Amino acid sequence: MKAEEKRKSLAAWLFNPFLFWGGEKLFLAGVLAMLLHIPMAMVFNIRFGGSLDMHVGTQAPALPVILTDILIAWIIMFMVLYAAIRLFGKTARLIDIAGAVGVARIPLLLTSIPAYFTAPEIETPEEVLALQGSELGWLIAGALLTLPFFVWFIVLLFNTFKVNSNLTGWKLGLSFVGAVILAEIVSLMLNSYFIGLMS
Amino acid sequence: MESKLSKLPVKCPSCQSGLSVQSLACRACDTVVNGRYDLPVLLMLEKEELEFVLRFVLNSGSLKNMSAEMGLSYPTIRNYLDDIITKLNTLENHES
Repeated sequence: MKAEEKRKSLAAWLFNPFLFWGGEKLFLAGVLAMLLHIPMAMVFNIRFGGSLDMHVGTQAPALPVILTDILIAWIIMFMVLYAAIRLFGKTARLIDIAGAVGVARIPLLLTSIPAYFTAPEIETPEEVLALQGSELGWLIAGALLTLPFFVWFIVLLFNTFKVNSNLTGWKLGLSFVGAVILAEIVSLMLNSYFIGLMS
Repeated sequence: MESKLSKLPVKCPSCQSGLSVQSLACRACDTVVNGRYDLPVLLMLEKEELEFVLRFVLNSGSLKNMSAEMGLSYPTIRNYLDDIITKLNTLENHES
């Protein structure tokens, strides 16, 4: 099988490990990746509010906020991807998608490091416009450093959807884009609601 | 010699239409039977697809066992099976 040959390559391990990695082992790896969000958020002052989001702040978020963020981000993404697959009459196992979405978030976790060291100390988004000199330079450098990791995250999410749905062509592209946008909107709304309840 | 026998041509190299069997020979006594026999749909699959079907049957249809045996994930195995089913349906519809 072509897939058997693909598994030997480093590129497959980095960008599409889901060809040969699934079931309980992948799910446990996904759960572990989600648990890693907690120390990363605490150490690097990060909020993962939203299925695609990573925001660096000036202080570490509280544990209930971190847990709310990561649970919503993870569950909403894998549930929406699963629903999109079922919508096209395809069968898939929730355990494979949940595990793969958790693992796909590892590059997003890694963006925390450059983001922490390059982000300027500002409280509101409007303050970005007032940035000058080295602070602006660091902000741009940070954006450039985090971008490849974000692209890597999206590639892994795409391959999660592709391997689990077996869709091709426009159905694959359109349903993936639609599902990811929907997951982001729903996760932001739920996040806002639950975080609002805490304050 | 062995490798030449293992690859069964199923399409005409000239016009890409499906081929049929015209002659069968007995290896023991060299008797040759001539006629026109359609190839079974399963034999129209590629070699690696046929190997997959064989593994599927030998594993009693367990995709989970095949996944462990082949070192591939369950969805990858299921996708491969789905692709073969689609191909068999197309071939059957083309035949009838």
